[in-house]
Amino acid sequence: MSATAAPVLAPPPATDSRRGQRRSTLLRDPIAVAASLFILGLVAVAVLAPWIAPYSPSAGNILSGNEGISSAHWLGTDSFGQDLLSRLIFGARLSLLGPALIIMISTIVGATFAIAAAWFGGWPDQVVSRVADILFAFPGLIFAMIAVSMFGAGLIAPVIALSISYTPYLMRVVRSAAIRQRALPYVSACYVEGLPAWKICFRHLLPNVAPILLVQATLSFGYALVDLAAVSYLGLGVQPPTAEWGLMVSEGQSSILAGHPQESLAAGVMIILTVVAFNLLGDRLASRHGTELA
Amino acid sequence: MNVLELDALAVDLPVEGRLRRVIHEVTLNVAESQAVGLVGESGAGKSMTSRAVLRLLPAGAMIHGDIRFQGRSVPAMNADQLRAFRLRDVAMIFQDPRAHINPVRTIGDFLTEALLERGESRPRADAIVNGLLSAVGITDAARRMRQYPHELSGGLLQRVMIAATLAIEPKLLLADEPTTALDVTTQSDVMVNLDTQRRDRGLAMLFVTHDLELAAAVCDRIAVMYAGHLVEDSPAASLHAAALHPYTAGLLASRPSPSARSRRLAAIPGRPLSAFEAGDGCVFATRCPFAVDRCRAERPMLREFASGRVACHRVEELRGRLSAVASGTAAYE
Amino acid sequence: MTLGLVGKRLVLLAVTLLVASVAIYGALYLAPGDPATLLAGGHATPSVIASIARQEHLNQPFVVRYWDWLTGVLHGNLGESFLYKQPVASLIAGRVMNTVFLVAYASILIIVGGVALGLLAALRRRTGVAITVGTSIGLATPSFVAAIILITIFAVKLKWFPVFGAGTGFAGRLSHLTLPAIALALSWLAYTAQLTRAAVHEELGTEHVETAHSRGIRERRVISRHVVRNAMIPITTVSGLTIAGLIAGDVVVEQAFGINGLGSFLVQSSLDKDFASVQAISLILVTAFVVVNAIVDLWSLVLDPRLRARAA
Repeated sequence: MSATAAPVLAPPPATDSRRGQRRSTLLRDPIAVAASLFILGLVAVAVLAPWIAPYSPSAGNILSGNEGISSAHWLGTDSFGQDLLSRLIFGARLSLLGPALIIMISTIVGATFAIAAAWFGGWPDQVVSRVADILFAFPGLIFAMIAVSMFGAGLIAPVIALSISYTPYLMRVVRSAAIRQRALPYVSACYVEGLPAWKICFRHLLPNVAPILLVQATLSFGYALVDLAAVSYLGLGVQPPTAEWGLMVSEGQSSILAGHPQESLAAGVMIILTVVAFNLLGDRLASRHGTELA
Repeated sequence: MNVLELDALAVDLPVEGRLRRVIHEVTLNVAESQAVGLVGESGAGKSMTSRAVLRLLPAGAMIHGDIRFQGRSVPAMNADQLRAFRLRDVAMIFQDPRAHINPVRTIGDFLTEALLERGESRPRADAIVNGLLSAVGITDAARRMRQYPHELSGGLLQRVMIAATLAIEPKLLLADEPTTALDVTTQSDVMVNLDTQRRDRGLAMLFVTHDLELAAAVCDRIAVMYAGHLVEDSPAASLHAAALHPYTAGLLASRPSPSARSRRLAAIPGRPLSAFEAGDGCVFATRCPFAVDRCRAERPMLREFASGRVACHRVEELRGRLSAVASGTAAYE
Repeated sequence: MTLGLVGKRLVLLAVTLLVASVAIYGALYLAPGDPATLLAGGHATPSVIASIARQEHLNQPFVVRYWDWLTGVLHGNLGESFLYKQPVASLIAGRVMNTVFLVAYASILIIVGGVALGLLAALRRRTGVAITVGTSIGLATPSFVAAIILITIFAVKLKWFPVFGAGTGFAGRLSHLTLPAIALALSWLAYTAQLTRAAVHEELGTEHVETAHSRGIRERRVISRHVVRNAMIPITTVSGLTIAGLIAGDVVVEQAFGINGLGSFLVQSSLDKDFASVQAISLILVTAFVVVNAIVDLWSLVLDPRLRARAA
């Protein structure tokens, strides 16, 4: 796998090139490879959705609602007659983009604060740690709901709220790693040589805490996906007729009683599989680095 | 009758998926009330030998040969017999008391556990333990019993460990480097106490250590192990004066002596081997300054010599030379 | 010494709650639009907005209003819902019991089921592998997905349990809330099981367990007195987190099963922008979250004597 394997997608190039490096050392681990392939495949499907999906996700005829598996509709249709497979494919876009944004934001913000806290120590570190402790007290979902009640439903409010809620987890892990790095002799050596603090942090500390950050980010991705899907399930996230897996689970729920569980189950299974893949990959990365995680 | 008999004991351990021999046909006896030291460098297999007596080996280990306690074969015991054996007949003193005592239970709990397991009543167990704490030199027993391990120093904890082994009145003590983890002054205090208690109660002991001096001070006989093989087994007094085996001589020669003046400290060249690393021939041949071709080709058997046993082809020839090395008049080469 | 430790924890608890309450109350002022309009909800006429402004003393400085709200809450006055024109307290009174029952039920499932499965997985090789696979999937299953799977199989196909609602009385609640409790507990149960397995596995390899074996202690006693007892420490620490996280997951499950509880009310209030209710319920949930964590913290001190020394 080359570092340019995944071009400008939902995760920006910065996180991608790190992922590329990691993968080359993981090639010997079958589970990690399988999980990575699944994730890449999913991302590819999401990107190529308009060209892969047999139908438009919102094209549907109520008369052909809740149909089972057929040659025309490989997974059947939902209650509005929309093709389930197409909705799953298009749904991958938002279902992956949301968590990616959350992880991206919380990683950047969390890492920045963590490295700054580790570098300066003293009261900035104390302040940052106390704030993190208080943030830990807020379950992410509650945060998202407060945000929605303030700013309205959609993708933006929950994503920002969840980003804030996830930041302390990433921050805690990065901070302890950064503190350990900072104590190493090479940091003092750079400092003595006259290297400005921000350069030391950026060019040296950051790359060295990157592996641990990556592990935590990968593991958190699964949680973020679940949380965001829950928000959509509750109707507080993306709104119909947009395709998104969490939303699809809730839309299909009424059909279950009528004996047509396919929409909810299909979307639910996709969520489970994706989270399993990220968890497995994260676990494998973690055992490689022997890190402590949130 | 001997309390303990190791009869051609061999132990295989799973190493990276394969079984490797780490102890090679060790034959050794411990008589009643006798203390036998088991000496050697790290990795020689001495600790493993003592654990084998209790069948405390890692999963997948295989025992060959026999271990007999008062005539009964230990490897042949079933689970219940083994438990009774561990509960009443033998007790082990481990090297690092802090790791070997449960940190979230009180000292009193640790001390009385085995007694209660045997069916003693609580008050009686407490009484026995109280008495033992004073025997090992711990004052204010009542308070100590309520404390937790992290509140006691290493030396005190080891005394507690010793008290725990004495509590069940075993016939045999297995001491696995009991003072190695302690600082030097505490070492001698604890060791003196252990020795006194052992002699007073007439207990037999297998004393595992890398410290030849210590073994000589405390034991009646010393067995020397190298790379999983027993190379010498002599009375402590004569071994201290002169060794029969070149390896033992090397150990003696490498003792730093405060009285010797600017003599270069002898060291045995090379590094110690595990049993499965040795090739044909004598296990010590690669490091022995007296090795000849026969040593490299043919493994010497343990045989009687003088007042002990030794596994060396050249023991008769080297006798005088080794005495000189031991007394410092000749160099170890 | 212990009293000092407990005192410290309680102070930390109080401070966290205070800051959280400020954040919850203050969120109103971060929202776009002016507070009175927000409190009035969706469609409010200028006169309604004006009367609200007067009623809520919105011309007063923030600190005063916050203090009024806080003291009101401590006296049981959770504010007034402008949507339903009722005090929030009476709106949630009936719903609290359902939520408490559900969360308690799920907690029992998590602790008992999780520890039992984890112990089994650590002690028996072959079942261990199956349990590990099962828990990996369980971990990845969000509660609402678990909900619809359970509904599909057990409520619709097999008809063993009712599909919706919370039921009344103890027996009724037990029957109605079993599937929701399982859905809520599933991922946390899986997590607890994995953690228990790891903790027990680690304890089995420790030296002090070797000592217990060397002394001839019965295997069952070794497991209970040394292995499980010590493994409980990391498990307890995590249990606090899980039970607290349950409080959040409960919201989703109530919605999925149509249970009339605090959680579903919170969702409804969020959508309706019934801000007073959102504030009150958020405060309750966050308080429960923080209090449970504090209790678990203190329980850890009981379990592990070494922490008492370290924390002193």
